[in-house]
Amino acid sequence: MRKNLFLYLTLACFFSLIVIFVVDGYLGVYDTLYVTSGEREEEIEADFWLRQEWSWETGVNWGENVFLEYEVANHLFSDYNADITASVWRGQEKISDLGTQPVVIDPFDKAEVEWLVDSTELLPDPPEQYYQYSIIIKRGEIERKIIVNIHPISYPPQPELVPYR
Amino acid sequence: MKIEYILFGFGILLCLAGIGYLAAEYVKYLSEAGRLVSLLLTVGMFGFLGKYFEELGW
Repeated sequence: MRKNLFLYLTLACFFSLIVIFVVDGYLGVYDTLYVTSGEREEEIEADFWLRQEWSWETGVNWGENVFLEYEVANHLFSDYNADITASVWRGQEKISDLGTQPVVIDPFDKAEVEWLVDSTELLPDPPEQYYQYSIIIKRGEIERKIIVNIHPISYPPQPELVPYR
Repeated sequence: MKIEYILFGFGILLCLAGIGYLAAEYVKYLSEAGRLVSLLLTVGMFGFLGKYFEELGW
């Protein structure tokens, strides 16, 4: 009887561990970022930021836009409030603010914030080489960084038509 | 007969290694409190398992 008690306690500890892993792993605030550049949409899930990688890299041809959709999921029993800010940086210099949006998310609900980055606003003239910019998204203390490579137009410009004489 | 025990032991070791690897990967998603409780439960689990085998006469 006594040895069975130890076996049951062992099993109870094991199943409690499984429950904690599932429940505590689910609870929390998780963010997912969707980056659309050119014809490609990339989904950056919350666990990407938990690993060693600290920035996501994407590329766009000059003249095209980068579309960002930032989704915050609140897996808590209370409301979640935060100011979500996005800005464009080059080196240590802030180039532009994409905007700040306060969000209030109900328990077990989600909210989305969208931004559009126009490469021609960052580089008004067609570049001859590629340029890198950083888009930094801040949500409270949490910071997400996306590096955007702006490539020059690869095809040569069309020659001017000479009128036939 | 002996080879069977060696294979059982090898299988058990592989299972423990797999569970340990998954736990080490997944523990990143837990909160600080969750990690502490998990640690206590793990200690308790192995403690009770040891007592169980002790009662069996191992």
